[in-house]
Amino acid sequence: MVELFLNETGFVGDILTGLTNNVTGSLFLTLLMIMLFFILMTLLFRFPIEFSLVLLLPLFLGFMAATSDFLALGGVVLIYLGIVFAKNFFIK
Amino acid sequence: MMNRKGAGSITQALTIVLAINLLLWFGQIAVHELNPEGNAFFNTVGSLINNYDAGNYTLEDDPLSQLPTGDSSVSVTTGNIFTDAWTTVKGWFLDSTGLSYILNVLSAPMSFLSALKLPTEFAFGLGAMWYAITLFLVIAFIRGDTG
Repeated sequence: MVELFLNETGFVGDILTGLTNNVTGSLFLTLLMIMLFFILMTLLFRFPIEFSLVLLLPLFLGFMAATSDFLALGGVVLIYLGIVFAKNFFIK
Repeated sequence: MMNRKGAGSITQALTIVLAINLLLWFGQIAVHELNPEGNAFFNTVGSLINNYDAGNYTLEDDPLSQLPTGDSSVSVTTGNIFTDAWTTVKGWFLDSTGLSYILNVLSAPMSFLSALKLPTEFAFGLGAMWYAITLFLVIAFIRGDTG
């Protein structure tokens, strides 16, 4: 399942496989670390917290495409993004 | 439009469910693009946006076809004139006023919570809460209440 990122995305795939194989040992922990990093950066630069979703969503979609273990996690992110989408674009 | 709180709340619930449906659908398309042999976790069957599908995920040309139409025929097979009349009247009210579409918002979360293969207890808890709250919102909407 990791080969998908390695073959398709190059640079990002190297980061993901390197983190998984050498540091965390699990794809879940890799995703958690990257997510925490993005959220931390978002808070640090005082962006709205929804801004981190813009960066995290492609990552989640890639994990969801690779293995079905991430369906529930990515689904929760998609549901949250749907609520943000509705609140910002339709409900005024 | 949002002056009455009841009407505003049901509109918000409907909008949020529609947006979640849309985002899940886009996510499914994106996952399929990334990995064609990947996981299919969401199709439009049973969701609100399925009402607008004219086949092969295309829209109808005629916007008027999206308006609800009532079923005026009476079924004579049940043999009971009281239940028959009741069913017909209920079906007419639900369909011709568009209330059945609004009531569909009640069942919407169950379709996508189960499609995401979430634990059944989790889906049950969230679904039960959603059913109760949205039912109250629908009642408030019908009554024109302030919520």
